[in-house]
Amino acid sequence: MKYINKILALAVLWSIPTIVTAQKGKEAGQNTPAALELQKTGYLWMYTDNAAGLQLDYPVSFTKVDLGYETQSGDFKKPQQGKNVENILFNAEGSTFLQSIYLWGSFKYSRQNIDEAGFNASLIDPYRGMPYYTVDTLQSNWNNQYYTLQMKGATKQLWNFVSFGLDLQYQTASGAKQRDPRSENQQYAIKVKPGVVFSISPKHHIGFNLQYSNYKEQSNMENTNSYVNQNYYLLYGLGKSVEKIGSGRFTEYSANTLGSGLQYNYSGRTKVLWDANYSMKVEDLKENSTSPKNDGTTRDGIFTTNLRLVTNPEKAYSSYIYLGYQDRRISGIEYLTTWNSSTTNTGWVTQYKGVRSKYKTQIASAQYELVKNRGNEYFWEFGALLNYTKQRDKYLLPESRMESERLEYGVNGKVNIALSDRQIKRLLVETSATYNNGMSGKYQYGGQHSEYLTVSDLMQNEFNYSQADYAHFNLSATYSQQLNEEYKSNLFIKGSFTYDKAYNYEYNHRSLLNFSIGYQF
Amino acid sequence: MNKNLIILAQLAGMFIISLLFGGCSGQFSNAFDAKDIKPMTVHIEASMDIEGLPAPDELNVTLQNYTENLTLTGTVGSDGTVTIPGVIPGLYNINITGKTEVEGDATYYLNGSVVNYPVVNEDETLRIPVQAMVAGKLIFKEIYYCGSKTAKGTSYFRDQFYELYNNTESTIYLDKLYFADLNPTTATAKLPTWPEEDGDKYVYAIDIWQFPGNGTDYPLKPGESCVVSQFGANHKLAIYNPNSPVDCSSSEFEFNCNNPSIPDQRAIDMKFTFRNGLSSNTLKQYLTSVFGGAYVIFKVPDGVTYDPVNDKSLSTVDLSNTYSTLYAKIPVNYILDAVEAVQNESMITAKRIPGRLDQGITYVGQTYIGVSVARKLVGYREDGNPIFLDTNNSTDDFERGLTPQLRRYNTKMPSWNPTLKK
Repeated sequence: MKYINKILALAVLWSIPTIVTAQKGKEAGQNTPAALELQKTGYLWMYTDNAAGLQLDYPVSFTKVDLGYETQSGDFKKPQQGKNVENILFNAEGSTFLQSIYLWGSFKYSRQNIDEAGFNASLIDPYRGMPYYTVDTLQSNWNNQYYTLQMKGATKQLWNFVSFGLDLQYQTASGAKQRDPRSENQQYAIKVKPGVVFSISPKHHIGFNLQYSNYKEQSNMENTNSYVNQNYYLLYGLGKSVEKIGSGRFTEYSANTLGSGLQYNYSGRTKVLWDANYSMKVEDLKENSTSPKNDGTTRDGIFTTNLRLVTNPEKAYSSYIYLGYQDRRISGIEYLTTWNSSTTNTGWVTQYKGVRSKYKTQIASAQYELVKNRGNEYFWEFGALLNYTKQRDKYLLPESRMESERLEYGVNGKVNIALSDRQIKRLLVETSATYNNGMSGKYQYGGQHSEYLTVSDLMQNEFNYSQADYAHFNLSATYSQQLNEEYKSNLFIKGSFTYDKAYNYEYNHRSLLNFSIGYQF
Repeated sequence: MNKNLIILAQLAGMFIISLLFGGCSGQFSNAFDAKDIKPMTVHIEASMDIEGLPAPDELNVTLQNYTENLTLTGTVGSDGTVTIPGVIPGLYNINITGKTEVEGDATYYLNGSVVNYPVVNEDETLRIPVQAMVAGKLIFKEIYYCGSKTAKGTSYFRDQFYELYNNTESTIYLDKLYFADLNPTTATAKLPTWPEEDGDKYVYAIDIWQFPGNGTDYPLKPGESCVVSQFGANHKLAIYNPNSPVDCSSSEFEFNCNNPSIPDQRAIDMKFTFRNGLSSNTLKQYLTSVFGGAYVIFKVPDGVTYDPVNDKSLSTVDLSNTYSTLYAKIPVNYILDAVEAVQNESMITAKRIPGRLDQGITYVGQTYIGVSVARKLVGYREDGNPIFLDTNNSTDDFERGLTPQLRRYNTKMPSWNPTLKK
């Protein structure tokens, strides 16, 4: 039981910005940002849903904390994104060994101020794949907060054959819309992923994991100025909506997700890891807290498969290859309900439910990185990426369609300049350039009230954004050094600038500026 | 090490058990029951209840689904049935309409309707009774209910008014007619539950007022309007609300509540008749919902006593809750005209008035915006009197969002209007 106490204590420790020193296990040679990045790039199991294989990555113990600020602005955005967004970010991440168990934990906090976001009156994140929510047509500010706590643990190989692992994640958020009809939102999610890895031989490993998560979000709308009733819309997908007037409504979203994953890992001179995962989430929307009424349900199935290769990690030059594919299909279910006012069974009665809309997104990705190693860091990296996204959304009856295809391709480079070996002073400069091409698409609305702003403004601008070609540039610089030559810990300061330039008569640009300061050891 | 194994195995076991028996099984089952939507076919049978009247030349059927903005139509065949394909599953207002005339007598509107009927079963047959209502009578011509805003942005609702019009070619006496607003005050999908034995014979009123008179004191000649105001004052005056769109000082009647803050005007006082089982007026003011109410004008047949205060069979509570508020029953066949106003178009699913009195709804879409609904003009008689559209369907019969105007289209003021007296 003392080990459970230690596990829980570590989970609490990750929630506050304290210094946790590495205890046992392999430690990083140097704790520069490039060294940590290179180490994590070589992990394969860390990026799967199966924590049981973590020790097969031969991880090092480390701790990293950073505090950052970022600001985003520009008109090249989706209708529901803010024109200006500010974030304060705090991240803490670390890993250690408790006896023979490897533990990794992470805590993230962000405070977000969104200015002038439109068409959202009831969700913290309107892009999470839920088509049923409430919108208004006024630009409004939102204040949001997010907390995410995650922990992974893996045993060592038992009987030279099997290892077990567990991935836990708890996330909570709150949001508040600052203009009538205003909304106060509370949201939480909990995820559990137990896993097991069987080592058939020293080089071949097969893993299997399960996944369960529970999600809830509540939104309570009201008018602060009770003299003015507000117009709002209940969305049902692809622009279909019902107009209402008043102070909004109370909505509760609740979801459960079940899933599983399969992994295969080959650990030779070239390390390969292939994984495939499938999850199904069912999410219900109920309206009205006193007499709950079914208003929508989604069936959200996601299939992903990934292939990662790492070649010659110990040599002068290493290659990192990533291939990935994701297929997401959402079915939107609507209900017909009538009010039963009989004294014995008062409440909403569901007369009918049917699938009214379907949303399909397919993403294929390929990425290659060539690295020139230097000690336990890298000297330089050069890479290229290619992403293809295809979206097919359909409202069944009366039929509406929104379809798009995008291709993104680009290159990136990093150079880790050794300014001085005294106090290991480094300047890590990164740059990337990609081009996003809206290859094709269409939006055809066949439903009622095409004059509503939910069709002519919200959905039409969503479509316009999906078709816009744009160039994406990023330049960042990270300065790091040891504070004391006797210790390997590093202080770092990072600045990053991202610029999206749209080649479209509707849009101009969007930029993101980020500063952070941190410490890793 | 064995302890680690035991702990992890226990956690895994708990996880598996929760998966098998957890609450999510019901949620998943409910979600995977749903199938892709497909259009349906509906069979409608008109059950005629028009004894003594000639059969109509044509009976039309309309299925209206507000959520889908879908209107489907058909014509009832000689066998009294009609089949309508391509119906999207949903809640429909289904109306059967027609007209028949008795030579030398009156024109009768035929109507049968069901409100918020769930069309969810393929090849379902729906039987709708069709009844007759006399056409061309005393009608609501214009209703201004939403109120207006003051210069300071506060709400002003004293300027509500209801204009009645004689749409016939005969004189109608207003004496002892009744004006009522129905429950619920504002349209809601959660409709009340009334006694089962009442069937569809009544509508249920919150307040009832009566026109005064001895029987012939207040004639409304063809082409004349009568305005009933909440407060018969000039609302544009500085002491009231200069932003109000109306001057109601020429109203014929007002709902006077003997409130010193709302002083009695020259308009003739309506007689308070019923509220919560009482005939004494304890209200400091009388206003109907600024979101839109359901209004009726009704006449009790000669020789019949109508006293919902003392005759307990003419009042009831709402059986869907435990409140003791009494509502007056108004027999449907007493109704001369009924208009249902709601918050906006989406509230077609929350109608309070039976379809055979008013098949539709009217609305202005907002509150305190100083606009009214007014019946559409369809033409003029030879004597120059306006004729207004009256199909018993407020959706079609009314224009919406107009600047309120007393006696629009120059309808005439009756000679007994108080402002005409010296």
